[in-house]
Formats: sequence, structure tokens, C-alpha cells
Amino acid sequence: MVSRLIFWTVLCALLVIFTLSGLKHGAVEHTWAETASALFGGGNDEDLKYFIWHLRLPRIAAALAVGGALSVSGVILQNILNNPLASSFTLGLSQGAAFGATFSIIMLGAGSTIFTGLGSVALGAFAGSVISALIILLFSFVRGMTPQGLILAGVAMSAFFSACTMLMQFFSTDTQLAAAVFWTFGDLGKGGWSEAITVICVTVAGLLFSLRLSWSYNAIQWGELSASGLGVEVKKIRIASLAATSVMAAFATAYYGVIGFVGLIAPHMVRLIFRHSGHGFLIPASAVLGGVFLLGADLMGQLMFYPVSLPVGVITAFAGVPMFLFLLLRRSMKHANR
Amino acid sequence: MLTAENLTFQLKNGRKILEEVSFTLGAGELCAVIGPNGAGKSTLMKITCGIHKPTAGEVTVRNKKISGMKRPEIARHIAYLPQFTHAVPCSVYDSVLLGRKPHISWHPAQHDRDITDSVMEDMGIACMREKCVTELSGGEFQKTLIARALVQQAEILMLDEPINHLDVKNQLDIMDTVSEITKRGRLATLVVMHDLNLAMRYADTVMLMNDGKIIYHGCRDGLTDEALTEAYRTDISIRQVEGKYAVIF
Repeated sequence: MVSRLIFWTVLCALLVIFTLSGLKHGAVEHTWAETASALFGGGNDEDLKYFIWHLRLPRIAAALAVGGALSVSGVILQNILNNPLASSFTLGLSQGAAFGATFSIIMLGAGSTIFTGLGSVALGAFAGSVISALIILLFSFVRGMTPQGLILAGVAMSAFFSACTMLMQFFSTDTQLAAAVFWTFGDLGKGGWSEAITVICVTVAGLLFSLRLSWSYNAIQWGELSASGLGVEVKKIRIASLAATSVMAAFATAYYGVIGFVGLIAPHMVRLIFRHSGHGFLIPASAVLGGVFLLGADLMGQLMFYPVSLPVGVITAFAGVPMFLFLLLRRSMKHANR
Repeated sequence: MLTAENLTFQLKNGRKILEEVSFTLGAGELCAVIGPNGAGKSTLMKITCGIHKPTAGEVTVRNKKISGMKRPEIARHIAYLPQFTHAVPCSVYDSVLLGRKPHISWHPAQHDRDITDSVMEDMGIACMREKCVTELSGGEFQKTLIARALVQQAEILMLDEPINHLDVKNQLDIMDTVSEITKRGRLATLVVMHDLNLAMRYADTVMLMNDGKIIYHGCRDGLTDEALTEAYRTDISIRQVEGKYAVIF
């Protein structure tokens, strides 16, 4: 219990530090006093007030919500698919979203710049992600389909959507290509308050949904037969959870682009620290850790090559790939030692 | 307490895994299900506890059909321990508490924790409540799983090969425990076993299966050498040695 208290304290401290830094740092630098004054409505710098209230705060909110959504999706998918490497990325939802966004930009001409066409690009990304999720869901209805089969279906979907995206990019103009590629980077500065609030609402709903099922997830960890013996409707929960995680990942990706590996990093960090934790702890801890991690990664992206701001997707990929390889190695070594 | 009537389970290719299987199980009865590999023992268990739907037939618990029950309700009547269960990294206490799942809506109440404490005390595993399940010995792990099944507080207990891969001492310990809780709790217990000596030693009734059918179901005394020999396709005979059954093959 003490270790959990320390964990929450450290997370809260990081949250405060990253939030304050996120409010202060941006394209234009200001002092702490000016930032605090603008935040609480004081001062005469209307530009700064606008930056803080309409650009930086929604960006911070988006980081927490998107990080939370992707992490909760990751925890649930890893459980129901019985695979520690499962995430919205592995199932092809992100690639589906990238395909949808590229389709909107190139085929439907959704704005020559990413900002003017954000609504329609997001709609396309959402549709792409949902189509990908629906195909995976349809696969899950196939009698005898195993969780491993679903993962393989996800890999196939990823390859298919990536090929479609590349095909469209090949025939696009330079401007369209730039807009499509920029969208796939994954950037938290793409949306405003309405996008952030939408993702917050979806994340909170997903969090409550998964917490309600946390004991079922604990049972599913012991295998399908054991869980059924404990009264869990495994198939129903698997389908409902797949649908819920798809919606969470679809909303997060639709507005902010492809941000990979958060769904792997946060849950596995929590599992590494608290090896015996059940889903009642794992889900909220991963959600908060994922949010704080993404907030930190975004801040790093803004400060690393200041004044140039790196898309957060690049930072998470750099942090996520070693984690992914570490998990693969750990798994292989476990099998080798058996 | 438990009645199975004309249970048939047929695969899509037409092969019948179970054929017209009927039996009843009363309170306080420990029934050993024996038979060669592929006889349909595990399938019978999965169908009886509602995990698989039978092609035909019906299972009733206290005159209520389980086909009309939802899974949590079935789990409140029947606790099922599958043949293969892998260890999950969690504490022994949490893994036993998980047995309260059919009774939990959001999170376990104090009542659920009290039941868990009491069962762990009874099973002699209270001393290792904080130990990780992956660090348990085979016998300790099996006891933990049985404790979880007991925490479900179901009146029917179904254990699919609970003593496989255990040494003799642990086999006897586990079967002593199962026998004792069956009598004390007036449970109806169905145990799939491969050790015929232990089956004859602990069971009140024996169910011999072969090719998806019940060849014999009744008290131990009625089981003949011929029935066993026919089912296992090898010479088997039962003898009484110093008041105990000995199966010779």
C-alpha cells in the first residue's frame, strides 16, 4: 500500500510539473509571473491569455485524455486478447485511421492545409478506425477464432491499410502528400477545446466501463475456461471490450493522429512496478501514467529543438520501440527458461 | 441436486463426443468420473456446468434448467475447476478472493473477504496469503484453486483432474480435503480422475465412461472387473486388501 501511495504521489507531482511547464512553454516564451497572471485573468497581454486558454490548456487536456484513452485501450486489449503486445496499434486501428485521414485529404480534398480541413480529416480518420475495428469485431464473431487469430487479423489489416495509404500518397500532389504525412505524425496541437472535451468524455466513459469489468478481466487472465467457471461471459465481454476500446482509440486517433506505443508503455510500466496488481488498480494507474507520459513526451517534443516543435508521435515511438523490444526479449527469455 | 438427462454432444463432422448421457448427483455425494482418454469426461463436465451447450438434453440444478440461467447464476450453483489452469502472477489471497466473482457487482465487500479468510483458514493456506501464485508448489497451487472454487459457495463442485502431476502425499491431501468438504458442506462433487485406486478409495459413487457413454454409474461395490477391462481395453481387476480397494492391472 505504501508503494502505491508513493506511485500516486510521484504521478501527481509529475502531473503538476508538466502542466505548469506546458502552460509556460510554447512558440512564444514568457516568464512564470506573466504565465500565472494570464492564467488567472490578470495582465494586459491578450495574446498570452489566448495562447494559454485556447492553445496550451486544451493541449494539456488532450495529452491527458489521449494518453488515458490509449493506455486503457492497451490494458483491456492485452487482457481480452491474452497478448502483452496488443494495442490499438497492433490491431490496425491506428493504420485504419491513417488511411481514413489520407483518403479525406487526397481523395475528398479535405483542405489544402491540415487545419482548415481538420473536421473532415477527423471524420475520415474516425471512419477508417471504425471500419478497421468492425472488421476485427466481425472476425471475433467467427466461431473458433482465437485471440491470437484476432492479433494476426489486426496485423493483416495494418498491412492492408498501410498499402492503401501508400497507394493514395503515390498518386497525390506534393501539397496533399505533405498534409497526409503531417497528419500521420500524431500531434496534440491539432485540436482545440471541443476536440479535447470530446476525447475526455470518451475516455472517462471508457474508464468507467473498464472499471466496472475489472473483476471479469482479473478472471479472464486465468484463461477462458476458468473465467467461465467463475461466471464470466467471456465472449460477450471480449466483444463489448473490443468495441469500447475501438471507440476510445478511434476518437483519440481521429483528432490527434497516430500516436503509437502509449498503450504498451503505460500498462507495462505499471505491471513492472506492481507485478501482482489486479485490473482494479492497473486500469486507473495506467490511465493516469499514460496521460502524464504523453504530457511529458509532448513537452519534450516542444523543448528538444526549440523553437521547432516535434510531433509527440515521434517522441512516443522513440520511447516505445525499446519498450516493445524489451517485452519481446523478456517473453522469449521466459519461454527459453521453461 | 444435479440431474443430467439424455445429454448428447455432437461435433459438426457428425462425431458424437457424448451420447444420451443421464445421471443424478445428490448432496454429500462424491462421484469419481473415470474412463480412458477421449471417453468424454471433460466434455461432460463442461456441458454439465454450462460452458458448452449440449446438442440435445438438459441439465437441471434443484429442478431448474441451467440452459435458462446466465453464467453468473450458474457459477453460484456450480463451481468448476478446469483440467489445465496456468498460474497468474497475483497473491494467493487475491486468487482465492476471485472465487467471489459470481457474487460481486463492482468490488468485493467485507462479507466476501470474510468468506475468503475463513476458507483459506480451513484449507490451511492462510499462512501464504501474500505469496505469489507463480511461486507455489504444485500441491499448494491446487489447494489455492480448490479454495477459490469453495469461496464460490456453490452447492455443486466439479473438479477436472485436480490431482494430476502431484506426488502421492499431495494427491492424498487434496482428496482428503475434497472428501471432507463434500461431506461437511453437503456438496455434490464430481471429480474426473485417472488414478483408479484413489477413485475407489475416496468416491461414494463411480461413473465409468467410454466412447461418450456411461458404462457404469453406482456405488463402488457394483463396479466389475469386466466393465473396467472393457472400457480400458486392458485387464483390470479390483481386490479388497485389508479392507481397502486395490485396482490391479
